[in-house]
Amino acid sequence: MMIHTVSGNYFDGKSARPVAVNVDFNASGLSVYTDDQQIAKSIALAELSHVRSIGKDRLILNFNAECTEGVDITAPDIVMLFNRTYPETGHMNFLGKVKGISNKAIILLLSTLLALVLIIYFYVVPFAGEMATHLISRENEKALGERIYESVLQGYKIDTFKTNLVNQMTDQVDFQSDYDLRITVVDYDEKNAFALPGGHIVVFSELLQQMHDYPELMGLLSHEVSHVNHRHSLRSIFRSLSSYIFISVLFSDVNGISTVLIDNANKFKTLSYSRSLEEEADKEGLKILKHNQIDPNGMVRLFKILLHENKDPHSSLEFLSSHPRTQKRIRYIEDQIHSGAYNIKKSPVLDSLWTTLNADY
Amino acid sequence: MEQRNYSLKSIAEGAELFKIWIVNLLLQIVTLGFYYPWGKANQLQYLYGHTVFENDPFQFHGTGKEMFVGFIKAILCIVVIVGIFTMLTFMGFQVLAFLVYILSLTAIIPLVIHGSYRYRMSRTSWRGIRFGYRGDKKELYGIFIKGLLLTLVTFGIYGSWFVISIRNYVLSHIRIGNGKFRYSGDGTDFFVLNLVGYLLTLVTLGIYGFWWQKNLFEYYVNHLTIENGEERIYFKSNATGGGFFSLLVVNLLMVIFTFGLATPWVIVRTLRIVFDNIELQGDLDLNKLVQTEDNFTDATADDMADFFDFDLAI
Repeated sequence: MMIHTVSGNYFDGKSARPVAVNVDFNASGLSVYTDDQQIAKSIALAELSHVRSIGKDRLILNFNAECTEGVDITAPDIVMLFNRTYPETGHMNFLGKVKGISNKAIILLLSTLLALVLIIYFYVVPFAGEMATHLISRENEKALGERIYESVLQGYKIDTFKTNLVNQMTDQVDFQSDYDLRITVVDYDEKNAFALPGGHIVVFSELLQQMHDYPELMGLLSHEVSHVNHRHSLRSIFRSLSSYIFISVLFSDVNGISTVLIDNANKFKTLSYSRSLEEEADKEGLKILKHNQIDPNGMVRLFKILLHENKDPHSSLEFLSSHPRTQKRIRYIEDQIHSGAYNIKKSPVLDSLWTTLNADY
Repeated sequence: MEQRNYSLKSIAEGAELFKIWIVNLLLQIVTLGFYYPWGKANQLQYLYGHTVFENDPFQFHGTGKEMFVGFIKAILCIVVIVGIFTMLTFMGFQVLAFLVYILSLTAIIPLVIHGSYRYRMSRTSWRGIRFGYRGDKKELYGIFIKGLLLTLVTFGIYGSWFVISIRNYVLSHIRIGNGKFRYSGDGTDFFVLNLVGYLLTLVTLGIYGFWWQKNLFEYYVNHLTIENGEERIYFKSNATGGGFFSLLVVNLLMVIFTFGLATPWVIVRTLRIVFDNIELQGDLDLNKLVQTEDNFTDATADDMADFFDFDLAI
């Protein structure tokens, strides 16, 4: 093997004074010596504790673990020379290896990273979020629902008369629910209704007024109860919460601004998820209607009510975005009705309760 | 010895740091964050190794393993504090929980400063000469508690004197072999600087903030010296408000528009500009620096400082 000789500075670990030395790279290791042989050291390869490079022309070798003694060599292509002379030693530390990664590999790495992050974001995180909902007991879910109910209902006027009647009607129907269902009718000029975790369902009086018969009301309630049964609110909350946590962890060392940008993108994802939940509630709601022998066309008519003449200007945006969706949902429900056999039996109790309820308008 | 200039600069490159950074990031994701200490060691090794004083690089030889131990201790410490807080809150002692939380966090600060300086300095060297931190934990606690109480009693006004007293103590106990760092700030000057900075920043709707930053930087740099016997190196800032403006605004834009991918370039850019704006002058003979500091290995406080996001000055 050829011996390479280069010159460098030796530091003895006792003083910061550099000493000009010659360094021989030979098969067994290094020889470090001054011209006058005042310093003459042989260092076996195994004794090299740290190998560092700066650019391609500078190499710093340490001979002890505390990095105090060593030699600093500057020579053209010294890094390559060292690696060629001692290819089998694997002495280049992590940094040396990382610096040697090609641009192609970095791009590949970057794409892998991006793919990994996207997979985690779109599949793993939402899944983990949904799994986390299983950790919430029914009692806690109810307590949470109760709290949301209290804060949501602040500022609304509860219509006690209608609330009682609707709850009496609800008691007549088997909603196949493990939850204690409590319907609240609030006096408000908007066609809307929503379900909270744990069994609370809120119906706005305006929507109730637009209805013609009890199958429409039951269409609405079976849809909302399905949200409750399948813990849709909780799942939504956990999904967006887990996404949010993931994003803030990912960008924690950056700043809040990127998080806000990404958070907006997150909203679109949430929107499409909520659509899939609505579809599930439609489907499950239909099953409840079928089970109770209630006319499923009530649900179709309900959607037509929701579709037409939405007067509230505040909901115009939501209306815009869900308009074609609603028609699609109507078609889907109609398809479901046509494809299955429905046994419809009119319930005199429900009908009379409905008449009482409707007489108020 | 004649008065002369010394050179101090960063020769780190964004593209190289990016490779280290992205590999660290990937490994951290794969290991659910546990690679963090090793990643931090890699990055520090690169940045120290590419900061050159008189054309010779610094060296950080702390290891991921050492820092991992510190990392675990830091996590345990946080878990205990948060655990006690949560427990007391659930038991209905909200006020007590809050007090314990604030007090325990406050009590940790001197420990974090002391430990992180000790570890970091003991793992740093230049031309084979180790740095060291020789501060005393009890003395630091004394200064800290006195300063904190006076700051509370004076509704924050004493804060300027407090910060400077800590800085004077900590920086003046750093060694590079037999070379001693000395920081000699004055609380009154620092108070006036901050008062003027605060008022003008308000009046100019924030624009003066960059000049305030420049003045702070100048105050930190200009009062620092290294001494060895009668010989000294004086630090002097050449930073300008405009320079700070372009540094900070461009950094922010780079980070935002690349979703953080430009972070390595931002780090490199910042270091280059910071070092380029520090001038070193004096008559200290570097060849007379000799080894004096021992080894030391506890990395807890170094990670803790990272956790609570303290600014490690120097």
